[in-house]
Amino acid sequence: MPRLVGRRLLAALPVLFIVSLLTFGVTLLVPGDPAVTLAGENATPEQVDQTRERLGLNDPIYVQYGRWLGGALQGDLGESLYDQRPVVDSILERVPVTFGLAVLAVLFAAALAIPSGVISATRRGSIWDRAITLVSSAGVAIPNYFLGMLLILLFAFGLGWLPAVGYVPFTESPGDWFLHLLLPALCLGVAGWAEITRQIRSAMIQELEQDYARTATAKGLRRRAVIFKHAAKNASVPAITVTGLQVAYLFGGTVIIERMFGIPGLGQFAISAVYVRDIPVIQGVVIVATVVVIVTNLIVDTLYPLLNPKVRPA
Amino acid sequence: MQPSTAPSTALAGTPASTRPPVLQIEDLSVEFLTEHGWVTVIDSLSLTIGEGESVGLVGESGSGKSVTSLAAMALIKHPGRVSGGHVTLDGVRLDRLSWREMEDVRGKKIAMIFQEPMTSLNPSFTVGEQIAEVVRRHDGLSRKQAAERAVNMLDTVGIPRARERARAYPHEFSGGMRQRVMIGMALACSPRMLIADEPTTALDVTTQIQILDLLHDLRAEFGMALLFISHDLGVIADIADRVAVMYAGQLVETASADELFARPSHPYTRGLMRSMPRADEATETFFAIPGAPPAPWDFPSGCRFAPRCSMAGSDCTQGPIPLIPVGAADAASRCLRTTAADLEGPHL
Repeated sequence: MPRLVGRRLLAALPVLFIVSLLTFGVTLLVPGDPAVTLAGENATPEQVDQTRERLGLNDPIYVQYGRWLGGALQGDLGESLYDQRPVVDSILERVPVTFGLAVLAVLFAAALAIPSGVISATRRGSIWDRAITLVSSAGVAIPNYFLGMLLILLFAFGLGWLPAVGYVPFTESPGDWFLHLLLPALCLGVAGWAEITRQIRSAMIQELEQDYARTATAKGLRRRAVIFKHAAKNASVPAITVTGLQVAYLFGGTVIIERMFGIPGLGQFAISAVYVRDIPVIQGVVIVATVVVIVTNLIVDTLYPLLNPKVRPA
Repeated sequence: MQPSTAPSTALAGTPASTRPPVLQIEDLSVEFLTEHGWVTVIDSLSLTIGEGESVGLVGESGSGKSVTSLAAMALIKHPGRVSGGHVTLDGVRLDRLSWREMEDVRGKKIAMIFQEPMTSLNPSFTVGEQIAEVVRRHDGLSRKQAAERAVNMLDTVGIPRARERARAYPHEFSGGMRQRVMIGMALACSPRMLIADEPTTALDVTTQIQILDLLHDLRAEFGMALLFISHDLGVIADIADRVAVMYAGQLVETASADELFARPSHPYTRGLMRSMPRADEATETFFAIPGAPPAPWDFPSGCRFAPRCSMAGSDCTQGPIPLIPVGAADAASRCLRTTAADLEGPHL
């Protein structure tokens, strides 16, 4: 197992390199010039030139990238072009916010998907199955910002049960933290819940029709043991794969959700950086997001051997 | 390992009718919902298996053998249903039990092994655990005791280094070894009745013989009754005291194994026997019964075998044919020609 993890981490390095290269390239294609924005509205062309020179934007592109990469290898992602703060510091401030939101969203998605998927699979064709299928189809189809508006209207403005926007750090008040993140996490998690439910439903239906499930029934095991022990262990492999994939989608979703609910996380940070072409910040956020996805995949991969003895190293 | 009261040896040679019945299938009908509507695939089947008795159920694919065995386990599920008759196990009507009560019966009093040893075990649990959970469930043993029983069972069914192998997963076993595991699992709670649905069909010939020998020995040791299902008359000859032949959802002939193999009554049984390749005869061609069995929605109203039977006459298609007693005790045949003179003589 440690060898597997080590190998996967080594394999992640080229991925990170390519992602950083692509991000760098894409930011160059975006119209607009940070020096113009930064120098101010009434700046003379000379002032803009000076600003550009100061930021190193006149250097050849490969020199700019090389400078960034050299820093990144030492854990320095550069400084924001605007407030001159180290990008690493700004990101580290916001990571816990987004992390909390994402973890809550995944927990909602998975915790609700297990019962809904199992009920759907074991009562196929029933009113429950149909209701769950309908709601999960809607969950995939509804854009999360639209759902977010509906939830805010209902629970914040209508019923007044939950705050509409804003954020309280966990360290200040765990209760308030939870209340502020409840709606955004539900919004963010609903698509994942729907996907995982569908996956669990089809995997459970398939597993319960296997010969081994009939064997388990024939030896007199209780129905719940056939479902939650025998079928579930085999069905969990595709379900976990989908959950892992959802984490990546969900990270993308935080960009919109954080903006909508006024949560000062990475997504919000990334958007404002894109508006002003703050290249080091964009680079930094993308790299962090890439690392999150790579680590998630790694966790999923290390779970497989625990669930499926056939992929266990001899 | 289990203290055996050995009823099979005590009762050996006793006619089946005088043994206390373990499994009684009475007038059982099963139907399935198909695109042709509800179709009867088992038609008024009756079969009694006495204590320690071994009954072979023979027939072609689709004749209803497996459905019969699933009905005996009360495992018929949608789109199938039992439409008539009932199954009695040790005096208890299984159709009167709830699903939960039936869960207490399965694996404890009646157990089953299946045709496909490769897929009938759960790939994600060790074989030891899959045996141990049965005894934990039914005999209330602790985890430790159950694990110990699992090792004993693996040893009983002839798996070498049982203690070590109990921790292995199904994919680490060959087909024959997996079938041994299945047998160990089925026998873990010493059931009174074992149903074996084509347990050797998926195995190669040498392994088949080993598994048959094992079943034979264990039946004597555990003293249980056996319903052995196969399409292979040769296998049935090895293991059965009594044989029941199925064709198109009906029992067409039943007799003691000796009687049936010496003097098959029903033309279908005779056809089955003729179509068995024999080692002691140098033949270039194999005999095959002409035609194919009818689909359940196409069952003829008279004798269902008539369209393929060389002896069929107009009287055969007039209406349903009953099981008609023939010579020996307990023997019967669903054929109007059974007693006809042309059945005598060297037709085989």
